[in-house]
Amino acid sequence: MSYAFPTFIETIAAFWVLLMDGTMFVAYVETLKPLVVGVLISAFVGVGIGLATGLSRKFDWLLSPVFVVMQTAPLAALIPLLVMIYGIGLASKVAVVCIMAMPVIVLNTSGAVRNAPVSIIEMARAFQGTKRDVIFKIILPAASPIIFAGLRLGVSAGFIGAILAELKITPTGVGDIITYSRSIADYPSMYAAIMSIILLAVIFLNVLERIETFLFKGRMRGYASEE
Amino acid sequence: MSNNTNDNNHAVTVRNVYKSYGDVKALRDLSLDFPRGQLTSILGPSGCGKTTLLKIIAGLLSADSGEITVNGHPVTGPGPDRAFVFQDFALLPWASVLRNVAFGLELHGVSKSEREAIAEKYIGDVGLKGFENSHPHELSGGMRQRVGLARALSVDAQVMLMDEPFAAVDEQTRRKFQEDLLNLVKHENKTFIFVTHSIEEAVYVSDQIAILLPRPSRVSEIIKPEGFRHKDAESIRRDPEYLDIVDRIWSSLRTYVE
Amino acid sequence: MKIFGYQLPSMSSLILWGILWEIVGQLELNFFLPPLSAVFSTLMEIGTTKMFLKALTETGYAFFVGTFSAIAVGIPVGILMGKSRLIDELLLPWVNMFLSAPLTALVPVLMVLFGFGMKAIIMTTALFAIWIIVLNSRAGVMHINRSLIEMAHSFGATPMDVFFKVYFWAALPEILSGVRIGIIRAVKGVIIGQLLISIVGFGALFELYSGQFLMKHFWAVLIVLFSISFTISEFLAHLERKVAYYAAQR
Repeated sequence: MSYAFPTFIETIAAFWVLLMDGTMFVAYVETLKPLVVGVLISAFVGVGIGLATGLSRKFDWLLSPVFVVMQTAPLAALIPLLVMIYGIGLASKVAVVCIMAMPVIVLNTSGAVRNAPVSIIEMARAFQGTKRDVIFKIILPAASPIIFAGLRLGVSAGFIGAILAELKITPTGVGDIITYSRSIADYPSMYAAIMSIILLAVIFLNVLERIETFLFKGRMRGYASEE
Repeated sequence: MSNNTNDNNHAVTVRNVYKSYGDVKALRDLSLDFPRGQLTSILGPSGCGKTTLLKIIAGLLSADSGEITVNGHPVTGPGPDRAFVFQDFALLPWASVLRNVAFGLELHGVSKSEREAIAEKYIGDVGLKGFENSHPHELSGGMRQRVGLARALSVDAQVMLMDEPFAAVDEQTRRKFQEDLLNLVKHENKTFIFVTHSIEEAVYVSDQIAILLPRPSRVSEIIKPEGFRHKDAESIRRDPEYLDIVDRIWSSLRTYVE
Repeated sequence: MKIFGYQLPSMSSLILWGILWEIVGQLELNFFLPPLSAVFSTLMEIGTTKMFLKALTETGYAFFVGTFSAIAVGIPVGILMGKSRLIDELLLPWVNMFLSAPLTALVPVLMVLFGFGMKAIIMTTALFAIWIIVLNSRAGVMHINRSLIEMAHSFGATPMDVFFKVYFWAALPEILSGVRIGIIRAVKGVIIGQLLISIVGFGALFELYSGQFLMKHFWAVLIVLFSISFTISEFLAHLERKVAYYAAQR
């Protein structure tokens, strides 16, 4: 097994080479395209659906079960289906990111809205706040920590989707480096690429967590549930 | 049926109010008048419907039947003539003290500069000058309730509804609040309706005490302490009539606790 | 939601979606959506074929072995981390990192290390599940009320006693919660493993059916998979609730 386990130094060296000759950079542009597009779509659509579901009993009854099932199901199984529908281009990769990221965003937003503290909603009504007032001045601000946490989890799931899409659908970007390096037994490069994406994801998510703590400091930060 | 001659003396009238939650009868045929410009306490053990009655007057709950009028007009929902002070303060955790105090005015559509000016005045009045930019989590329980009080005062409603406002603060702060409340009633030309389960508190601050019996609730007794109302804050607690009334109320209520 | 005053059960809108699916399928609006009824009848057909059962056992085997390993290793490690500052400081950064990392990226590594077969899939499954199990077990131990431990010591309990009679039960609700989430991740892991590593189990069936555009078969297998996953999840949630009655009082 030892030939397949390059030393740390070899991996760093390979990483450096890839970085310097621009391969890494080009690859990341490719990989980040479906990730960013997918996460943005998931964020806007997901929060929107979550709000509708949280505010309206009817929408909740209609849509929540769909997302609850999606949350527990191995959505990766749908990838062949998405490939059939969208082909093997950017669209299918964006679709993969979306189905991975949306359920957690929708469910977190929905839960946060539904669990907005009753006490201050009543206070707003006591001072004759309109329904719009209650939604925009009370429920949304109160729900924002958990919505943000849900977005963070969504980004995390989106990363998984992006990698999966690249390893499975067509090799592009970083996934291509991984697959190609493996096929020519250039293991240091493979490990370098894998290490880079893992580091990127972890660092980015950490930054999001710091932003979250900063934005909502001192408030009662609710936990964000993943499942 | 509202009695026209009383409307001038009574800011709020409650007539034959019934309210049930499913099978539980919270209020049964309850009638009560609240004299203008005075502080009336609604006193009773836990679960006797005091908060329900207060919220019905506030327009946050609707009665199953009966009539509630404020200044002669029937109550159909919350209105600018009434302001509510909440037991758990109900402050926006993400907003500054200034915004919290101005929040009632914000919901009424008052312009930013105007409402902030009004809020600043009341922030000073309740003794929180200098804390305009603090957030609730930076304040003690007593300070938070003062924010709630300032907010209720800012909207300049004629009727102040207070739902066990001092229950969530410590004993020392509570005593101070009771003294401050006496001053407030003296200087503001408003009608105060004050819900509490503390007998001492009720007898201390009230011009009139309505005692509610447990579910289903109706008024069992109305007491108007006379003798010591003019005394200063310190002496009231030792006044014989004060102690007498407290004892009387306790002996009639204790059967319901046991 | 209420209709005519009757409270509708919570997941009942799925029936509505099912009917919608059926209609769309019958009208042949879309190549990808055959009627739901056809999917079910196909399910009945293939449910007993050798091919299907082989896929089921292969997937099941990988899933169980992977999950079992994740639990058998994860819970003790988590508990150790909860009890020992030293181990915690060593391991926690790694656990946190792997928890949020896109584990899918590690699959090629597993392929290289363990070959293209069942072993790699089992490792993938275990890897997906283990981190949250470790983290939750650790949390369960860390949240134990100190007084419980002191109480046990004051009555003369041995370390074994303390572990089995106090620690384990006090941490159990949180551990179960971690196991539940871990198992859901394991299901995702076993599928991703099969899709990426080698063509066995359900992964094989998906490839086969999608390659030949056998939509009814594809959906049939997908529904089986989703139902199993959902059922396991609900069962564990149920177990969790049973244990949770004392959770608030720990």
